[in-house]
Amino acid sequence: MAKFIETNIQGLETFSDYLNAIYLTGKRSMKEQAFTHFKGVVRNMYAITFPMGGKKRSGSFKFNQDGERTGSVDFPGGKKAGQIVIGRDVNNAFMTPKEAKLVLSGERLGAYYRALEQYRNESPEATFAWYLQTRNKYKHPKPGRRPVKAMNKMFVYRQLIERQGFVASGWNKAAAYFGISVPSWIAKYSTSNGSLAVQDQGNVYKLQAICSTQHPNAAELQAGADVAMNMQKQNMKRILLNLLKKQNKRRGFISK
Amino acid sequence: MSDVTLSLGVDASQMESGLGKAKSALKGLEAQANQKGIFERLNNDVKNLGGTFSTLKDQIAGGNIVGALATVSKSAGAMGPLAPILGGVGVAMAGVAVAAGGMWSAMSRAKEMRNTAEQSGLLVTELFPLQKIFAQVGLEAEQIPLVMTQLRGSLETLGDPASKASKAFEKIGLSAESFKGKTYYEALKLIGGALSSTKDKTDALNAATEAFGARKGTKVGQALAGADFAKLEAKTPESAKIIQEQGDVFQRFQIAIGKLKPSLDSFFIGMAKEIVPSLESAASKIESSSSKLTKAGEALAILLKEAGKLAAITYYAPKELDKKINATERGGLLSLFKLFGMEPNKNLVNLPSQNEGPGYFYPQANEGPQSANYPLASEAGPKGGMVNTGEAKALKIERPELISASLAKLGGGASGMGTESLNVQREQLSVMQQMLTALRASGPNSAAPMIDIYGNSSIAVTA
Repeated sequence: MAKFIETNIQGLETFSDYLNAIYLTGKRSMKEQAFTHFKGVVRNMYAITFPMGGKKRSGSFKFNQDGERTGSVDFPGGKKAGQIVIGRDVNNAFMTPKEAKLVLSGERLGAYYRALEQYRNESPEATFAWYLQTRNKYKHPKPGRRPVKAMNKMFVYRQLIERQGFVASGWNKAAAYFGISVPSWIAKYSTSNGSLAVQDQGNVYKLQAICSTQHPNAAELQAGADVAMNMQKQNMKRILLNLLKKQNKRRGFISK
Repeated sequence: MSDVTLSLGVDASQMESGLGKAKSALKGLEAQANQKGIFERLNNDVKNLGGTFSTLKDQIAGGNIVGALATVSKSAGAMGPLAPILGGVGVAMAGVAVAAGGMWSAMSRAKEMRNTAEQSGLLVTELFPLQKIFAQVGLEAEQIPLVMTQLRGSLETLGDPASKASKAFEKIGLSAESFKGKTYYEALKLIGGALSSTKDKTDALNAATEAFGARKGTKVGQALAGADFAKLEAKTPESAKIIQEQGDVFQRFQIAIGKLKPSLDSFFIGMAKEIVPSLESAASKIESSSSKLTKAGEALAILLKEAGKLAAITYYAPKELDKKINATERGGLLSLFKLFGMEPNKNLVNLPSQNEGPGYFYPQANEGPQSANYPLASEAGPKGGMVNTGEAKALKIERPELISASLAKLGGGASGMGTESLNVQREQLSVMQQMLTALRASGPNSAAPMIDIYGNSSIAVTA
């Protein structure tokens, strides 16, 4: 039999357009729809907030076998990307004797060993404190590759890895409320660096999630919020299309 | 410390109150319907709906417009009270009617055929026998242009006696002279004849490989050698000629519909978003109090589908139709037009007065379509597109008797347009032209009054 009409969506632009359309088409109440899709936006914010985010804050999402985005946040991918950046930063800041032997020679190697002498008794904590102090406003160390004991360099790296997920944890309060599961390296932080306000006044709902951060690139997250919203709009479009297809099929407008 | 804030504010009160109004309107309707005994009639209609629809469907499919009108006139009265809610579905239904029956895919197929023929340097009428010949050896129609390109290349080298193709063709008794003044199709026939008469199969194989390429040469050679061109040409359907002659019309129609499609799609969604869900939501929310209405709603949806088809078809009904129907049937037709937001047809001269309508609508004075109502036609200029909508008069139907024959095809579902048989007929084209005019005239905004029952919600993102 013929496929009578092709289900397509046009004329819906804003988030509220989609929210209205989904409410009118689906069976859930407006409150359920609003909360569900706000939850979706919060989840998308995790995919955008450091260390996740991918290139140009496009979002770290998992992909299925067909290469399509699944909607699940790629937390391991984000963590790994962050680790690569941390490793690069620590390498730019320090040079161990083993590394010096590989890249330096002659007088320069001698100068390296003489400089290392003054850090011979430096504790790992002191090295870490020095690292934090010398970072620029973008939290990257000044290039210079200071001599350091290998143990101390590893300590700095591990300390930084341990701190991963702090910015993203700003959404933890909203995640706890909406039941979004987050990995332990983000969940371990308290919810004090974020907040959530939920108002339910009958037919009027106000939801506000705040992620407080000192990250120098927090401005990027401003644009990221729009990206997260647009991503959710795409999800809503997919849901709406499925609903319409089901309804059109039930009404006999399409046969398959 | 900076805050990234994500906010969502939803004020659904207007929307809920809109839905509340819809619910109470339906309840009021129910009360009114109960008072007037409409529900009893509606229930009876629902009970008999299966039979009615089946009759209506058969009548439309069989081109029995008069019979279908009589059927609709019986049901139109019952549909009457729900019309304000269902109003504006007409254009969408007309769109459904256009989209139904695989018309669009048939048009696309026709366009594809024309394109394939043009790419191959053949006429559509020549493409048909070739498709059959190629199909015998498992080659698809899409491969014909490639084979023909290879053949063109080979024929071009025939002028050089030292070329491989020239030598191979010589062995099967063909030379550059043999192809002089011949079309590519005739060249194929010539090669086929030469291949079949060549006794040395190796020579035949070499020639076929040179002519049609190493990959497909053998298969094409086999197919051409055993082909009975005359028999296949005799079987070429009339529709092939139509595609060849009317190819431009198909293309223009598709472009015109293509332009319309966004508004139609938008309208379908508009219908889904603004009308049907409201009915469903409202109906499901008052289901407990009115299961009858829900059932009726489902039944009406089916009825609307068939009736919409009929409305679209009879919108430009010829004068002959007016003579054939009685006052009741005419009233039913007028109710139908009204239900679908269409102005009554000017050709229906014997309009009943305001008190005569059998349904709950009263026919309005027929002022005829105004050019102001034809934004697309105005855009297209005085010459319009395929149809002269610039005149804004009822469409002149030169062969009205063909409509019913076309309707049979419209109602019959998709017959497709495979290589075996092309079902696009000349009269269908005529109906398509009328449909296009109807769609243009109706415009996509008939559902506008329904939109105001919905409020707005808002969302803000701040960071």
